[in-house]
Amino acid sequence: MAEVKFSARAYCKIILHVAKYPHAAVNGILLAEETKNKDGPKVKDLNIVDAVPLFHQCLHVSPMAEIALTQLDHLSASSGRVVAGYYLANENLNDLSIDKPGHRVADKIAEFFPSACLVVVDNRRLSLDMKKSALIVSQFSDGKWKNKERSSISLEGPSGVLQETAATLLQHNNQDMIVDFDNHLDDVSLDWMNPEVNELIDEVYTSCLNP
Amino acid sequence: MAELLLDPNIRLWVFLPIVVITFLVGVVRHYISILLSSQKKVELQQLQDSQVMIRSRMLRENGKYIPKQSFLMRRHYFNNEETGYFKTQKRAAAVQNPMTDPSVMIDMLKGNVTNVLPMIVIGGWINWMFSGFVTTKVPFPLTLRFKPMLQRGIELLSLDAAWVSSASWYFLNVFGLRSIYALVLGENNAADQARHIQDQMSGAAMAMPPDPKAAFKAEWEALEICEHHWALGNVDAEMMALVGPTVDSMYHQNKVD
Amino acid sequence: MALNKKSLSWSEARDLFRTWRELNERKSQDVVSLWENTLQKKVHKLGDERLLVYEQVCLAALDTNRMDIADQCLVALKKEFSTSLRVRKLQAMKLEAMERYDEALELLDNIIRRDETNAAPRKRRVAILKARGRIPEAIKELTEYLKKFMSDQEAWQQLCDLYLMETDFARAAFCMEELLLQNPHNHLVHQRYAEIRYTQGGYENIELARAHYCQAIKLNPNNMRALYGLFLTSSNIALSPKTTSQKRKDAGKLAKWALRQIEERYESSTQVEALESMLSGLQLGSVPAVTPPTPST
Repeated sequence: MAEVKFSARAYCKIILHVAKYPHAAVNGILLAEETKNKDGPKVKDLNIVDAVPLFHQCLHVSPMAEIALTQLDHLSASSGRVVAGYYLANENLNDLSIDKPGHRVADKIAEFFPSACLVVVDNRRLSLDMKKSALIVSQFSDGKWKNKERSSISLEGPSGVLQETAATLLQHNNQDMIVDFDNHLDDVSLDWMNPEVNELIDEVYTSCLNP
Repeated sequence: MAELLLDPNIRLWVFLPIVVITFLVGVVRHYISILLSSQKKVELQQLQDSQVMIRSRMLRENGKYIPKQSFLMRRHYFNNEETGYFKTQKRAAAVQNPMTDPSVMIDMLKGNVTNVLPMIVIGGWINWMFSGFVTTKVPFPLTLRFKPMLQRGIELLSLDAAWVSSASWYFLNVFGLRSIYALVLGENNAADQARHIQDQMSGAAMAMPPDPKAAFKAEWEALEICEHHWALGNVDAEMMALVGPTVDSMYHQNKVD
Repeated sequence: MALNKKSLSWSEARDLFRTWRELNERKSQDVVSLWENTLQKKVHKLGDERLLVYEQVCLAALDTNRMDIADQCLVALKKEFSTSLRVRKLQAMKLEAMERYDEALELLDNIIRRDETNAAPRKRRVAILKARGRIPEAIKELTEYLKKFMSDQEAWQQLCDLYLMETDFARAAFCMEELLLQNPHNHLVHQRYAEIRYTQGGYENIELARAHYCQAIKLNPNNMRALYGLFLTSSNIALSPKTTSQKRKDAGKLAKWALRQIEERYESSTQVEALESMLSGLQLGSVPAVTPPTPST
């Protein structure tokens, strides 16, 4: 069974984005390293290295999503990454479904990246100590999205460290720092690639790794 | 007419006290009416009707910003002969006769008690107490016909009609102190006599005129004659003007697409 | 917003609360922490305003799961207004927050029975249905509400969102049109309407979307979404086979202009490079070979 691995940066950014807008549905794109070998019919191991938060308002209309994806394609290609997945968190606490617009975007991504993955954040698992991983992952294979078991989803680093990183960030209210594409459209001087947040995550992760 | 010199005591003991009394009575009346006032109960139907009127008005005023089809669809909803809101909603004719409707009667009674009665009582008292002399002179000339009204109790044929008695000074105050009441008690205060009398005359105590049928008919007509000129029809041409003409488009200016 | 909470005096906190009430801002975290640190001990100094503050803090507490604070406020409010329907609505909201939906619904029905013209409990019912995930029922209830309270802008906005959740774009556009009728000079409404029409798809809808994006830009030249939207719609029109050649040229020009406007607002041009490639696609695309593309300005 192919494994899906989340780096510290990707996982924490997803959690921070979701925590910044607890009352709204949010979504974003997942990036993976660009690999040289051609994608065969087999589903490969996936290493998600970054997450780019997109929207927290009106997720169901498409114009800004098209703009974001076009720009993201270009930007990530220049840094050796490729659009490899889509994450979303629903407005409703108990809602784990993926609605049609979400599927549309995910299918589009899968067209260009056959082993794309689709992540739904389990709102109930979000807490100040983040004991359990909050992600529910499906991967595209044979034209369908198949749910992955928890055993084939792994987080970077030794067990528990990434959880602790995320928990520390939430406890310090660092979610206010993250900038998504909606924030960027409201004020273009804000960088939706979040370099400052990336640095902070790396810092906190290293300190959790070597306490 | 000769200039009269009034006793300064009149100023101290009549002029100013009348002002003070009127003002204080007004304030007291305001608070009493707040205590006595009943909660104006609005019916759901009335609320619905007034909201419909607002929506219809918005449609008329701003319909040009939505596409023609949408405008027509909404006008059809309101005006259509068989199914339109303004045509099919039947309302009972409003109670024109206040005598038969008990709640309106009680309201009228309360209004009268708090406003008209004190005015009459105090006016009479002032007239009785401060009678026999003139209190002040109005700054503009008046005709002789005003004399019996304004100079009650002073039977002097030769006195200029501009000199008025205390009673008329009192009534002048009642209407004049409105703006002071607005300052002290805030807008919409119950001490506002003139507004009350205006209200009673117009007969419409609420935002919604008591006769929805007439209002619906008026709105129906207004909507029927309203035309839809889409405001955004030329907006891309306007944007193009902003962008500037190209050599090509200038050449093809007369070309019809 | 980074509030230095300890340093605010109680009167500054009170003024901040007042501003948030007037602007209808929902800064629940800040309200709760300011309340606990500063305002709670000085509430007796607020006079009549304290009742509004209690309501505001109660709602903030429900947002942040501080049921203790919410209870405190409710007790204080009940002491003042034991029969008030507004206080009962707050109690229903507390039950909602605790996910005791059936009890909350009962309480709300009670309030509606007492006063049929009260809009707030009816809207809370819709909110409960939405919270339970029953979107079609919420839509039904909200449409019934709107038949009675036709000019309620908040309700039309919410209905639009619900229809979007169900991807019923035609009806969502209808709701947005209602908002347009009430706010014709608000650039955000035009922009959102254009987005819905664009997502709906189809040549006429894209033209309509372009018109409304233009209007949004006229009303606010700094609306980035409208500029991007204008670029997208003009590009789409220029590439569509249904466009006449004159319109195609115009559309191309508009798209270029929009892109220039967007570029001006960025310090570095990396963001916009991706879109430039879309633009060049326009010129080499379906423009008929007879007329050469217009030179870029």
